[in-house]
Amino acid sequence: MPFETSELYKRYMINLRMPESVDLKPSKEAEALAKKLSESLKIKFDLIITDSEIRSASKNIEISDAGMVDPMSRHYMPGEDKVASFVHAYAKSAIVIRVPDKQKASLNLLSVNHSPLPIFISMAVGDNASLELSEYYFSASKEQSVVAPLHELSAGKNSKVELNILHDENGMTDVGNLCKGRIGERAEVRVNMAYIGGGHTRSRANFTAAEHGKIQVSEVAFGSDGQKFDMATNVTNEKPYSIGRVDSGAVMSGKSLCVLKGFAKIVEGARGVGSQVNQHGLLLDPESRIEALPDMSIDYSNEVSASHSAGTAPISNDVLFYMTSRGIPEDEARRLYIIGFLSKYLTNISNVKAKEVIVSVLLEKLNKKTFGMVPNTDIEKFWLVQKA
Amino acid sequence: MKLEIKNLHVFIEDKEVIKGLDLAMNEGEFHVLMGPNGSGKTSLSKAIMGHPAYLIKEGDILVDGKSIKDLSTDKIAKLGLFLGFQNPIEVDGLGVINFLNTARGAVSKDNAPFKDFLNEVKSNAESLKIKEDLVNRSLNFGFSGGEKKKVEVLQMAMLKPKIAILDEPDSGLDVDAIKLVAAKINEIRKNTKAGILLITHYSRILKYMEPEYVHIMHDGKITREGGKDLIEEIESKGYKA
Repeated sequence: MPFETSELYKRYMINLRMPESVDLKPSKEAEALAKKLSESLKIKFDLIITDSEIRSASKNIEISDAGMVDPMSRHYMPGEDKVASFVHAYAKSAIVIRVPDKQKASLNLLSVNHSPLPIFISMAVGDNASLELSEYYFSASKEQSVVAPLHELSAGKNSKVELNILHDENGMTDVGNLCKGRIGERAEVRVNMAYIGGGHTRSRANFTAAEHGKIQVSEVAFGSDGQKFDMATNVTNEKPYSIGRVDSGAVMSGKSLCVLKGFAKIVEGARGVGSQVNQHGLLLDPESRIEALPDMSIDYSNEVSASHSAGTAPISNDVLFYMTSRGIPEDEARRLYIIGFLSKYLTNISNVKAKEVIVSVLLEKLNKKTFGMVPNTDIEKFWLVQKA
Repeated sequence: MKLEIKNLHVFIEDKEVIKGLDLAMNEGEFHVLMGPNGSGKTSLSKAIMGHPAYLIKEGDILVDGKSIKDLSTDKIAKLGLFLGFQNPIEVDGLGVINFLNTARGAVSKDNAPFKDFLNEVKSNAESLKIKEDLVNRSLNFGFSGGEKKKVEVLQMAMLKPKIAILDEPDSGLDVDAIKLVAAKINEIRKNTKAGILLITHYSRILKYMEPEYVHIMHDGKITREGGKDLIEEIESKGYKA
């Protein structure tokens, strides 16, 4: 059964609110903000996307007309998913990242948009190559918009890929993030996604691992003020000795809602594989809701290791008692506990700067209860940053 | 510091777990509280530290003559009271160092540089034979029972309380670890002049320590009091004698 035709999943699917008209108009605000962020985050951005242009400063990145990308080479087909259809209909540009065999690339993408952003991001990582791509999505205004990046990854044999994605758009923005990838033989892919802003977020990730291939997805949503998150991640152990793991976490407050759908599939004949789906939620008030729907399908195999877990709870009084018994005030204890919970989903990020930006945005939201605005922070102040 | 418990009656919902208990101790003194399972030892420790589920319906708990029964747990800790937990709570994602550093800032005016603080943690951890990687991990998460107990003593060493209530610091420890933990508690007491109220079922850890006052608790009350000789009597005749 196709993933989203199941009645169970349909019941929890959040519809994205598409703007009545899509107007790709350039804005000076986006340009100014991109400039400011480039300076304040102290990160060299290889790809900057604003309303007016997409500019690249890397030989690994090619920007082409979306219509020029061969439809047959795409992993996502029109009609396969509502966001994919939206991207196919409206995307003007395609970003193609190529890392040839045995080459390494570490790239940073900054998107600061005011207008709707439907965009293809295709990653072709060669055999024995490595790619580290960190993507940061912010809004340049408080106006309604849609940000829909569609990622297609092809990871060659023995390759290593780390994809870090941060979404902190304004509350009027609908975020539709799609990731689809094939993990080659003995390749290792880590995908880390943090959803902090956006009024409605719909995330779909779908990865297939070949023999001895390893895919590890960590995703976290931190919601407040009625934000809604619909996150579905699907990993398939297609070949023997492959490893698939999905860790999903959610912290919700202020009538927010998060639905976590994790699905692991072990294909017939894929012996000796490992598969895990873990989903955990933290409710900060009784009016918020987290639905965890872990699911597994093991077609046939007698040599697999497969497990799933799910749990949602408020912060327990015993935890607070333990922490406050050391003199820590209750508010600070709650804060520490929430940071600790969220940080579990960031441990796979090896890029220190990417981790710092995500942590700083999470802290900004936790401390100031705001989201969707650019973090007014100097990440060098954080003790986690390793000084040279 | 003087801790006084006067005619204390504590309830968990409608069940009375402490039924008119009196006890007094001063900073620097070493008291032992013994008693069979279910006698109310852990309930007493939690009530002293202000656990919200333990309701004081009668009597009082005083620190230096002032009631603390309406204080929040963090404020009680800031006065200089410390509770070493029988079952330390696991907090996944919160590092031991981060937790200890936050607690240090909360209970003391210790402004020592972070590097000095880390060296002190390392030194205390070494003397407790706590594996180096343990302090870099999440608080108590995935620790063995023995490791959790050692980390409780490590916290006591770092936070330097005036009076420490240690709830079964010996349970789950092997003989060598018991000696190690006992030696560390003795060292902390000697260096900081802390008062100790050690809660235990068994006398085994007390072979390596020199308690001055022994209290036997039964059914929510202190039923006998004496010196170290009382421990030997309990050891040979049991609590029912």
